[in-house]
Amino acid sequence: MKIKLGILIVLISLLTGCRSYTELNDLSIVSTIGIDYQEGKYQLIINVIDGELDDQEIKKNITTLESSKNSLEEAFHDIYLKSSKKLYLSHLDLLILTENAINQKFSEIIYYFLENSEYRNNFNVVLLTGGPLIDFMKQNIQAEEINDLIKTNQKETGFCAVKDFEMILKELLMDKNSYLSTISNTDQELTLEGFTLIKDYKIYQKLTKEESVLLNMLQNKIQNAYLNQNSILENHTMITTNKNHISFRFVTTLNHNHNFQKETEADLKQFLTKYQKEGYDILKLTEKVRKNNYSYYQQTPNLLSQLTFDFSFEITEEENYLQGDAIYETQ
Amino acid sequence: MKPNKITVLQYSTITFFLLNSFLMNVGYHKITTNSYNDSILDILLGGVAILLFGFFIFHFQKKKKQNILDTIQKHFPKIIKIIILITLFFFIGFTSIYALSILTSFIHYYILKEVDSIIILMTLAITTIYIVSKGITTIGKISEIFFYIYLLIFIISSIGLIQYIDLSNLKPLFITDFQSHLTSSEIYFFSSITPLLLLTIIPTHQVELEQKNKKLPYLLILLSIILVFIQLILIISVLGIHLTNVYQTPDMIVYKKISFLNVLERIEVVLAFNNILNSLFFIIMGVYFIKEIIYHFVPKKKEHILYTLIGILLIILGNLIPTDASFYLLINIVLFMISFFFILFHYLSKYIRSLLNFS
Repeated sequence: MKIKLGILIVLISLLTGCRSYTELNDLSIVSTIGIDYQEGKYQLIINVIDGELDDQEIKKNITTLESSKNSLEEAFHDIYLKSSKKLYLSHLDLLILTENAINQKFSEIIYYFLENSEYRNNFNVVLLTGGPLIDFMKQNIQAEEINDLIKTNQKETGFCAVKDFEMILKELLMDKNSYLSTISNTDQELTLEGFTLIKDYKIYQKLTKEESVLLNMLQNKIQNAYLNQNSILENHTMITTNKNHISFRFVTTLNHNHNFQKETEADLKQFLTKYQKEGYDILKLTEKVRKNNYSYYQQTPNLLSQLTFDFSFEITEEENYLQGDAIYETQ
Repeated sequence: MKPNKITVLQYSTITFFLLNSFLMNVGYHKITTNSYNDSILDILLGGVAILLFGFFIFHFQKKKKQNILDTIQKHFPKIIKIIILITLFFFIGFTSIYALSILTSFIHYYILKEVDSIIILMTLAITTIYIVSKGITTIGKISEIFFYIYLLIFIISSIGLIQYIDLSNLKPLFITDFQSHLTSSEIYFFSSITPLLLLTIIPTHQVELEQKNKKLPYLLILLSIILVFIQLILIISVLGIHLTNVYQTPDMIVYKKISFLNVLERIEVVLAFNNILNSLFFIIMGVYFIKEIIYHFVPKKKEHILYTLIGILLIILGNLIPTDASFYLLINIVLFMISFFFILFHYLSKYIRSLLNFS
C-alpha cells in the first residue's frame, strides 16, 4: 500500500504538466510583426502588448523588439532572448511586409508562418511603403487600429480590403499570384493606398485607387465607393462562367446616375483585358472555369487569353428624401 | 448487464472509435493529395469495402463465439499457431505504439506545446494500461460514455463551420483517373483492417447480443464512415483543396476557425478531443490484444508485472518508432491478407468437410 501511495505521489508531481506553466502576467502578446530584408539579412521588428494594472484599469503598454539575422528562425530566437516575458504568438493581428521582404523572401516568409502552429491563420497581411519599417513600428500604432482603418475604408471608400494570411496563402497556392493592401508611412503619417499585385512571389504592379475599386467591385467586396463621378451606395456582383465566356452582373445602387454604366463598363473591360494581355489572372478566372467546366479547362491551352467578358448592370438610384423635403418647404 | 459482459451498444461504440482511428493514424492528407476533391467519393467507395469486411468479421465472430486467439489455438497445429500469434504480437504491437507516438506528437504540437513529449507519452501509456487492466467491461463503458461526447463535439464543430462553407470549393469532381480512386479508397479501406481485427479479441459470448440490436455494429460502422465523409466535405469546402493538401491535419486548422458569436473562441483544443478519443481507443484495444496474446504463452499470474512491462515498453518504443503512415498501411495490407486467407481457409475447410460428410 505504501509503495502504491509513493508511486501515486511521484506520478502526480511528474505528470500534471504544471512544471512548465506560464503565468498570464509573464506573457507578452505579439500583436504586430514587421519584416524587412536588407543586405542579406531579415530585419524583424515585433510590437508586443503588455497589460499593466493601473488604478484598477488595465493599461496597454506597447514595446518594440528588433533583430537582424540571416534567417527568420534566428531573428525570432534573438528576439526571445531580448524579451523578459514569454512571447505569445497566437494573438498576432497584423503582419507588415516591406517591398524588399516580398521581392526577395516572400515564399520563405509565407512558409515560416505556415509551418508554425502557434500562429492562427487569421492575421492580416499588408505591404508597407514610403519609409523604413523601423520608423513605422516605433510609432507604436496598434495592429487593431490599422486593421480597423482598412476595414472601414473597405466599407466606405472601396479601394482596399482586409486580407488575412489564409486567403493570401490560398491564392498563392493556386497560381503563385495574389495581391495585398498597401499602407504608406510618409512623414510619420499613415495613409492607405491601392492594392499591390504579387506575381510569382514578387511584387508585380501597384494598382491606383480607381483600379483597386474596380478590383473590389469585380470581387463583390465593396459597399460604398466613389467611381466615375458616381457615389456607389450598395453593390452586389455575380460572376457566371460558360466555357470561356465570363459574365459579370452588377446590382448597384447609386446616389445619382451620371453615365455610370457606360463609363464603368469601359473601365472594367479595359482593366480586365490589360491584365489578360499580360498573362496575369487577376480575378483567378481560370480557376473558376476549372471548377465549373473541368473538361473545357483541360482541353483549352492558354485559357486566360481566350476568355471573353460580358457586363450587365441593374442600376437603381436611391430616393433623395432630403431634396423632396426641400422642395416641399420651398413650395 | 451481466458481469464480464458488454452490451451490444458498447461493442458497437468500440467499433466506431476503432474505425475513426483512421483520422489520426493515416489522416485525410494521404487521400486528398492523391485524388483531390474526388477523395470525398473515395471515402464512400472505401466505406463500402469496410462494411463488407466488417460483415465478414462479425459473421465469423458470431459463429465462433470466442476470441480470435482461442480460434487460432483450436484450429491450427502448434507451430503454425505460434507463428501466427508472434506475427500478430509484432504487428498489433507496432500499430499500437505507432498510434501512441502519433497521438503524442499531435498533443505536443497542437495542444500542450510547453509540455515535454515524454510526459505526454507517459500519461497516455499509464492511462491506457490502467483502462486495459480494468478489463473489457470498463473499456465498453467508457466507450459508450465518450460516444455521446464525441457526437456532441462533432455537432458543435459542424455548426461552427457552417458560416465558412463555400460549396464551390468542392468542384470540380470526377477529375482523377481510376487508379487514383482505387489508391485512395484502398488507403481508407486498409487503414481500417487493424481496427476491425482488434475487435476480434472480444469474444461474442461476452457481448449481450439481443435480437433487436443485432444490426447496431453495422450501423455504427456506417455512422463512422458518414462522419468521416461529412468531415471531409466540411474541410474541403472551408479550406479549398489546395490548402487542405498543405496541412498534415487539416481538421485542426478548420477547428481553429470556429467561434460562436465572437465570444466563444479558440475552442480547437476542446474540439480536438475527438481526435484524441479515436486514437486512444485504438491504443487501448491494441494493448488489450497484446495482453491476451501474452496470456496464451504465459500463465495469468502477477498481472501487475505484465502491465508494468507493457507500460515501460510503450514509453520506450513510443519514442523510437518512426511515425510513417506508409509503413502502417503496409502492415494493414499484410494483416488483411492474413485475415483473408484465414477466413477463406475456415469457410473452405467447412465446405470440404460438408462435402465429405455428404459423400
